[in-house]
Amino acid sequence: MPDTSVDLCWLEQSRDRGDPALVLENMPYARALGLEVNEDERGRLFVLPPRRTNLGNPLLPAIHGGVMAAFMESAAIIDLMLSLGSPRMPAIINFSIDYLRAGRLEPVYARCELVREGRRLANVRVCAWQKDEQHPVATARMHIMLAALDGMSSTSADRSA
Amino acid sequence: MSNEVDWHYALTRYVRGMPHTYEAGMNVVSAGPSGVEMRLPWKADFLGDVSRQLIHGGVITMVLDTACTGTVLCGLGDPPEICPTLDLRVDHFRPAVAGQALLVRARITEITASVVFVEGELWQENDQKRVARATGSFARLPAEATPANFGRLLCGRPGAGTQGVKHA
Repeated sequence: MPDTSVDLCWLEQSRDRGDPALVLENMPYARALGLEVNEDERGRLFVLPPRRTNLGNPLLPAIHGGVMAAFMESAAIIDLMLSLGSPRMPAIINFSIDYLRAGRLEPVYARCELVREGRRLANVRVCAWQKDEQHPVATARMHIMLAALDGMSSTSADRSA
Repeated sequence: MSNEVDWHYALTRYVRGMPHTYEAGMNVVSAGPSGVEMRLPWKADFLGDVSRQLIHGGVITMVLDTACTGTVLCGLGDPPEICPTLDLRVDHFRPAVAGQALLVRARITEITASVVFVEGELWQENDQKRVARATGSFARLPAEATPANFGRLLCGRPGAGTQGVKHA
């Protein structure tokens, strides 16, 4: 089992400030893919910039299906961490992706929808597109378990005191 | 003719030809029509949660996706078909921890005229408990959708039509 006596104050800070930097710092694979968190008039917008190292088929070229999935899953987790009413640590229960079009070597955009936020469970939908938001390259959905920070960190009791 | 294909060699070319799996360091343990096994050695870049030292769920999906697409190539025989992934679902049973390689096994569960159904399992080197399981489906396209030289690109020996495939 993972060590649960870890300091998670970065999560509360990131959420309170609405700043994804600390969340991204904790997520090296998302940084390795080049994931960026932006805002537009409709809300939080995730971007996967075109990078050769994210390709699967180099001849087409097409983004690796697993990279597309990892980008969308990262977006969902980051969006959830920043949106939750009270800060909690997410753990993925399941993830399902539909591949609708090949991902070209161009930026991919993704937007997340928190379909349900319960006490212990969340459901998130993610839509990813390239040229046109109305023509997604992939859609995904996931169930996520939410653990209260108090139950996870031996230091949180001291902090909340 | 399909018994002449060295699937370990072909899938090694496949995972090394894809920039992402090449950079990640993925390799093929075994491969054949009955299934594939692959291994991803540990790297700190794979973390999804530094504070708890857990591997990113997306790495798990990427590894399962690679093994599932690989097993479709082996399972449809010679010449191989390019089958786009329709969908992939991953169930996470327990977290994958830092410092250990990921091992993945995938096999075809059913082949129909239009779809290939696949399942995969993932675990870590020092623990036989399953970390995750995936199911996926892949579309079979008309023969002309697979380029004529694809079989040679995938299975060919160096010098026999290998342009475009990166060597390690």
